[in-house]
Formats: sequence, structure tokens, C-alpha cells
Amino acid sequence: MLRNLPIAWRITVLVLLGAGLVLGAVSLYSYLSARDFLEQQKRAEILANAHATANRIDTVTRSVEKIVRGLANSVDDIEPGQRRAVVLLRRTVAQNPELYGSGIGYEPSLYGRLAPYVYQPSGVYGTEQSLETRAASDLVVTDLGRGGRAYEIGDWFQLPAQMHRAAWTEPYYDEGGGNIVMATYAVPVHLRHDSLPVSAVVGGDVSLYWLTRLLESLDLGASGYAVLVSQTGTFIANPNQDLIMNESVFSVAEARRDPRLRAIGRQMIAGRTGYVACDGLKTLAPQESSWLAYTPVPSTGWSLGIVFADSEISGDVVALSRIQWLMALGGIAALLVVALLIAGSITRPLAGLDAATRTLARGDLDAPLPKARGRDEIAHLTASFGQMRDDLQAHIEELRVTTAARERIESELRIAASIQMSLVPRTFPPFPERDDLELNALLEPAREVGGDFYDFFFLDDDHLCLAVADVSGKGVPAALLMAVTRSFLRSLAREGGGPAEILAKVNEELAADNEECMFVTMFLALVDVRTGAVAYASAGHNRPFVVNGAGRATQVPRVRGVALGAKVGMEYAEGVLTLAPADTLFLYTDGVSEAMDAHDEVFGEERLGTELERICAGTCGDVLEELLAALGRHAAGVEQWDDITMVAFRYLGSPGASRDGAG
Amino acid sequence: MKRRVVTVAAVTLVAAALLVVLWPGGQRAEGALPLEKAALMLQWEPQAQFAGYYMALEKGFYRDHGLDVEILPGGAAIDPVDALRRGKVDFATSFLTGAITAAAGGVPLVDVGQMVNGSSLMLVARRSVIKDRDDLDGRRVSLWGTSFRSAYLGYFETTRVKPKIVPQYYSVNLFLQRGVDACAAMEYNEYHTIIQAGVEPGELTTFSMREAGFGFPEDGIYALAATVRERPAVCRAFVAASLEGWEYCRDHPDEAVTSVMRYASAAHVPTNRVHQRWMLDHVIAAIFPAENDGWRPGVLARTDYERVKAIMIGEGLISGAPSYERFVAAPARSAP
Repeated sequence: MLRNLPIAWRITVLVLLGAGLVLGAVSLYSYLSARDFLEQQKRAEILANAHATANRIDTVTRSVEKIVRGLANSVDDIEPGQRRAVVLLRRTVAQNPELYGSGIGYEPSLYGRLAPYVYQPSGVYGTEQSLETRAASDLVVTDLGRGGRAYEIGDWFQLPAQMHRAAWTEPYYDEGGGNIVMATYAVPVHLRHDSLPVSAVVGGDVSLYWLTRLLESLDLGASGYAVLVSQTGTFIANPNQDLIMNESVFSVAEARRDPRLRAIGRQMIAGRTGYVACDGLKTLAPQESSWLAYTPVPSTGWSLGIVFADSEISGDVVALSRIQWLMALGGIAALLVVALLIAGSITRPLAGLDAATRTLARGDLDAPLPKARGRDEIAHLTASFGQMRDDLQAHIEELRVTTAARERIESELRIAASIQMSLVPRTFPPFPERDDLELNALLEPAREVGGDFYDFFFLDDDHLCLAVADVSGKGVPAALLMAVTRSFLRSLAREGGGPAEILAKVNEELAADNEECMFVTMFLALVDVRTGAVAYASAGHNRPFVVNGAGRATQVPRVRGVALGAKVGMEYAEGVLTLAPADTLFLYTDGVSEAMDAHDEVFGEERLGTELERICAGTCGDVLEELLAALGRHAAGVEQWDDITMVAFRYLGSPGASRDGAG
Repeated sequence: MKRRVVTVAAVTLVAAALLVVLWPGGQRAEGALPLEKAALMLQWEPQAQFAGYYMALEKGFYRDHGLDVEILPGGAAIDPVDALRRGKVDFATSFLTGAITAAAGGVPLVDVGQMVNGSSLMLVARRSVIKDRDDLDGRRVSLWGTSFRSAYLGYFETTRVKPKIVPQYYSVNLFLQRGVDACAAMEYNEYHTIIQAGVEPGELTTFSMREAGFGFPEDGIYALAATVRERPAVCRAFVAASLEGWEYCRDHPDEAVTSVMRYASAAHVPTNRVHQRWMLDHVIAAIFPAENDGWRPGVLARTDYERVKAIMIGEGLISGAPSYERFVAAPARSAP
């Protein structure tokens, strides 16, 4: 798919892909480490906040413990029922704004139900100003044992009385006093002379309203809130008022069927410090996922928890990561532009080159190539293309010139061929008025015009001149020499003389100005058609066959003589033979005997004789046709190499001639 | 034509009759009569232990039985038997042992309907110190006041362990703060409170009085003998309506818990829904017998009464008590 895109886009996409991966990896790494860092920081911050708040509470509860212990020390020399006890309580409550109230409960089995109690029901209780505004007259003095009320069943009395040690009670709703939720620090007191280990319990109350106010005043962000749980996990403070005193971490865990929350609760009431994921502590149902930092209030055994929504903690991380992702996106966008520009600058010359080569490919070699700047690969490529185009132009020009030359030669060859063909008689039968002979000839020029020719003409009524010649060389010179040779033959034959004499004369003429050193082989026969007597001479030519009436082929006897035109002053021997009626004289050139087959085997004179014997029954025309066909079969598609020239002459006998001359 | 008229008339009559029978008000032909006023005092603060009475009131079962009932909550400082004795209320709920103690002390109490026949009493101990019964010997164990002690004392007697008894009141904080090694608990209440204070069941050793053979019937509805004599119909109606209330709780526990939570909240009783649901489920199981439980809701079996009475006399908690026939109103007696 990528391969179908332009190179500029491919480069851009690949660069972006690579850079995007690197950028993404870097962003991811920095996001993760930043998130870790931020979370650590937040965690430390929340835990520090929790510690600070727990310490604030602890300061108050410890101060209450100190006050109550001091009170207990002062009480043990006051006889039960003495007015001094109430004065002491009043003073203590008035001077210590942390205290909601304070009282002394005497062991009923020793002293009857007697429990003086002083408290401060005013709304300003627990605030900074209360010390100034709390006048002794605002205090309420009462007896918790009035009307026989069984104060001894309360935890504040029961716990120290039974455990013989000071204790913080579970927070409780005090219906008798100010109808507030409070917790009491209670110290056992042993009065002198008493038989029981605990004669009385001195208690100091701390209002949880004050605690709730304190926790509400904490700045814990949008989602953060603080909870305080007692030693039993019961909520003492919670933004959800309904949960206070009613629910504990464990009841919430049970309602949610969340054993993990129960485990967290156990850690809290065990006085541990921790930072855990939790589903919120504001409602019975699980809320959004949050983080809970908890730490103990050591004096009371309570545990302070600060809850933060996960989303708020991750909010900073999200903001950070948003910036990072935006930067990454911006970077990639900038990279896209840069990559496109760079890729474009690289590929623009390429595109120009591409367009130019397309024009070039359509044949317009004059179209300009883009200018190559610099020395880079594209410049080289452009230069190479220019070189290639110039070479191509030169080559085409050369080709055009050579083609023109060749066309000229070919036209010359065509002219030569037409000369060659026009010089030989081609009308058969050539002598229709004669019934004493039969004559046919055939000249099959090769592709390149050669110099074969044949000729026959009557010197007078009785003497027929037959000639077959092969001019050395090919082409126009051969054709011209052939024309010249024929002219000489025709004119010199008419001057009289035998074949040898005629050949000698022709030789003289040809050899005289033969600067080209061209020569001609020729077989020349003079037939006396009255007797069938044949006089012949050969200028280096193949020996013709004589096929008698019985179908037997023999070559004419060899006569001495060299090719015409080679040298002046040559002598030629003359042979004679006599044709019986129905004998056929077969003349040919080496194009026949040396016709090649595919294996460079020549047709051969022997085979020629055999073929002649086979086909001699037909007319002369038939014989030539059949022989040509036999040559074609032999060649079997191999291109004809030389002119094929054949002349068949059958002597039919003169009605008035004697048969004696035969032999 | 004539026959058709007759058919129509007959169908109309039958429909009207059905309507009369099925109409909600139809059951109460005496609906025109004024409702009888009756006050009930419970032995403790609002919680699921009393869900049946609250639901009988809310669902109108008392009204349907011709009663105009007022429920007065109890509490640490309130004694329902005393209120009954002084004629402040007509009915009061009480633990059987508590009622027998009062009756032995001369209060003319009559059990008009034994609601809870199952027993929830148990001892809860810290497993770290107490692994079995014998470990209780010499340990500090907190127990409720006299009338609740009978079963435990019987248990200690039989098992020959002698713990140090410490008074226990309405909280288990003494146990939670390790002031005692074991404490008395109702399975439906304190046991679960301890669990809800973060103690794992595995950290506790529990001794069920029921399993130890000291399973006493618990909450019953009591009236003065005079009330039973003079207003027997009211007593019967009250018990029947209360049982209907309990049946309603059994069938609609969620709704019942919602009601209980409302009463508890109004009375400033700190509690939570899961705890009340736990309580309701256990109380229901102690009211309506399972297959192998031998009791009938509303009835106090003679054998149970005689057994509890004998044990209490044996423990010296009482010197004697009224006969079964005097202590239990006729409708609440078991078949002889």
C-alpha cells in the first residue's frame, strides 16, 4: 500500500512513524515517571496532613488526659459530698476550654449514688474565644446520680472501675447532659480507708462536635474529606452525619461485602499508619475509587483518615500528561511539515526528471531536462539522463544516415537484379516454330544479386548456341560484368568460329581491362540441330550432363579451359559429342551442385545425375521444375546462397538429318 | 327471557356476598366499635428484637384486632415489669428468667404469649486466652444482672468452672478494651457488635448456652393477672396481632429493618442497618421453629417453664415460683 504513495509521502509517513514511536516512548516514560513522582508527592502530602491533624487532635485529648489526671490527684483527699469537689470541678471546666464537662462518680456500693458533674452547654464551647467568654456562671452543676440514676452502668464509670486504670470511653450520645456526642477520659481514684480498689471515677468529657468542626475546617481540596474512627472503628467524625456513631468501618465493609475494607479497618484500630486504595467512606455504598491515608491518634486509640478521590490525585497527572501529549502532537505536526518540506525538496527534481523522461519516452528528444543543481545523486541522474538522451539522438541520426545508405544499396541491388533478369531470354518455348528441339531455362536469383546468366540463340538456321555462365562476385558489378560478358558473347559468337575460339575472344576482351580482377566461368555449346552434333568448350565451368533417351545421365567429357577474364591470351580446348534424338543436354551453375542443406552438405553432381535420371521423362520445363523442387527439399528452409541457373536442351532430331553423326 | 333475569339476579347476589366476605373491612364486622386502648413497654431500646411489635403497629394488625396500641421504648434506666406492676402499661415484654424472678418476687405476672422460644445466649471469649470451656476457670467474665445470669450460672455449675464474675451492663466495651476475658452476649446482638468492632470470628471462642443445654425461652409478652382475667379478648387479640407482626417481618425483612432503623433513629439509638438485619434474622429464627425445634410460636411449653424454674431455684436465684397454670395464660399453654 505504502508503495503506491509518492516518495515524498512515503518518506514523510516513515519519518513520522519512526519519530512518533520515539516521541511516544519518551512521552510515555516521562508520563509514567512523572505520575509516580506526583503520586508519591501527593501521598506524602496527604500522609503529612493526616499526621498533622491527628497530632492536633492528640494535643487536645492529651491535654484532657492531663487535666483529668490532675483532677484525680486533687480529688483523693476530698471527702465524698464535700462542696470542695464541685468548686474544683467548676474551676477546672471554666479554665479548660477543651473540656465539655467534668465529674466525679463515687462507687455506689460505698457512698450511694453520688456524682457531681459540671458542664458547659453553651454553643461557643470548644472555640478559641470560649476561655474569655466562658464565665463561671454559664456552667451547669448537676448530680448524675440524682433520683437514683445508675451512672455506674456507664462505660465512663465501668471501664476504670473494672480495669483499675484510666481509659477513654467509646464516644456516646449523652442524653442527660448537653445532648451531644462526647467521649470521656475517666481515671479511677482510690480514697483512703476504702476497702475497694476503686472508690470513685473522675471523668473529663471532650465534645466530638469540636472534632467535627476541626476536621471540617481542614483544607482538603474539592474531593478530600477527613474521617475519625474510634477504637471500635465507629465513625466519630464523617462528612455524612448519618454515619457518625451509627456505622463503623466494619459495618460499612459488611454492608458493601468488602473484606478488604474490613482489613483496612483492623489496621486503623490497631493504631497503624497506611495509605491504601478504598472506595470512599462517606456512604454505605461504594463511591468513586479513592485513596485513604490513616494514622492513629495515640492517646485515644482513634484513627484519623483522610480520603482523596483518585480522580483528584490523578488530576494533576492528567493535566501534566495533557500538556505532554499536546507537546508531542505539536511536535509531530511540526515534524510533518518539516518532513514534507525536506521530502519535497528531495523529490521535486525527481518529479521534474520523471516528467521530462516521460516526454523523452514519447519520442520528444528535444524536450528540455530539468536543471540539475548541486552534485547529489539526483544531479548525477539528471546528467546521466542528459548524456543518454544525447547519445540516443546521435545514434538515431547515425541510424538514419546508415538506413538511407542501405536503402540506396538495396535499390541498386533491385536495379541489378532487374538488369540480370532482363538480360536473359525468358519466353518459353523460345522457338515455337521449331519441332526439332525443346529448350527451357531457369534462373532463380539468390537474395543478393549474383552474376549467373544463361543464353541461347541461333547463329544461323542450323546452329544453336547454348551458354551458361557464372560471374564471380555479387551485386551490381557482377550484374554489369554479366551484361558485358553476354554482349561480348553475342557479338563475338556471330563472328564465327568454334566454341573454344569464341571463349578465347571473349576472354581477351574481358581480361583486357579487368582491373577488378573479376572472372566468369562459362560453358558454351554449339549444337548443329540438323545432326545433333555438339561442339563445346568450358571456361572453368561445371560439366553439363547428357541424359539419353534411355534415361541415363552422363557428364560431358572434361575439356581444358580457365575462367574468362583472369588472364589474357588463354587457349581453350574444344570437345565434341553427338546428341541422339531425345537426348537431353543439361547445363547448370554451381548454385545447383553446391546448394547447401542445413548440415552444410552440398547437393553434389552425383546426386544431380541421379535426380536427372529419375525425372528425365518429362518435358524440359518439367525437368527444371522437378529439379528446383528437389533442391528446395534439400535446402529444407536454408536460405538460398547462390543463384540457381539451369538450362535443359532436348534434341528431338531433324527429320532430314542422318543419324550417323551420333556418338 | 324470564330465566335470564333470574340468572342475572343470582350472579349479582353471589358477587355481592363475595364482596362482603373479601372486603378488607369485612373481617371486622364490629368495625364500628371503638378500639380498645393498650400500651406495650419493651424491655430495651428500639431494635430488631422488637420488630414484630413495630410492624404489627405500622401495618395495622393491632387495629385490625380492635386495638389502639402505643409502644413505649425501654432502656437502661427503665424497668418494664415495674411499669406493668404500677399499671402504667397493659403489656410488657420480658426475658423469661426475668419474668420468673419478678413473679417469684410477688409481681402477679402472666405470660400471655411466648414470642421467642429459641435461645441466643452465649459467652464470647478471646481465643488468645480462652480456647475451651476449662480455660474459663478463674478468668474475668462479665455477666448481665441477676435475671439473665441463670443460664450461665447453670452452665458454670455443670461444667465445674469458676470464673470471676464482673457486672456487665449495656455495652461490650469492657470486653473490647480487654477489661474482661469473656462476656455475656446475645448471638443476635452483642456477638455481632463485637464482630462489627473489628474482631474476627476466628479470634473468638464462643459458648452457646443453647448447645450446652441451657437454652431458655427468652422474650415473652406479659400482663398482670388482673388484665388477663378482666380483658382476656384484648390479651388474645394483642398476642395474635403481635404474631402477625412477626410473620410480616419474616416475610418482609427489609421493610421491617427500615422501620426499626426509623424507631432507633428517633430514639437516638446508635446502630446500623446490617446490624439490625443480623438481629432480625436471628430473632426470627428464634421465634419460628425450624423442623427439629419443638416449640410453637406464642406458646410457652410446660416442660420449658418447669425446667427453667427448677434451675433457678437450684441456683438459689429464687426460692419458689408460681405454677405453670398461674404463670402462663391459657392460650399460651402447651397441650397437657
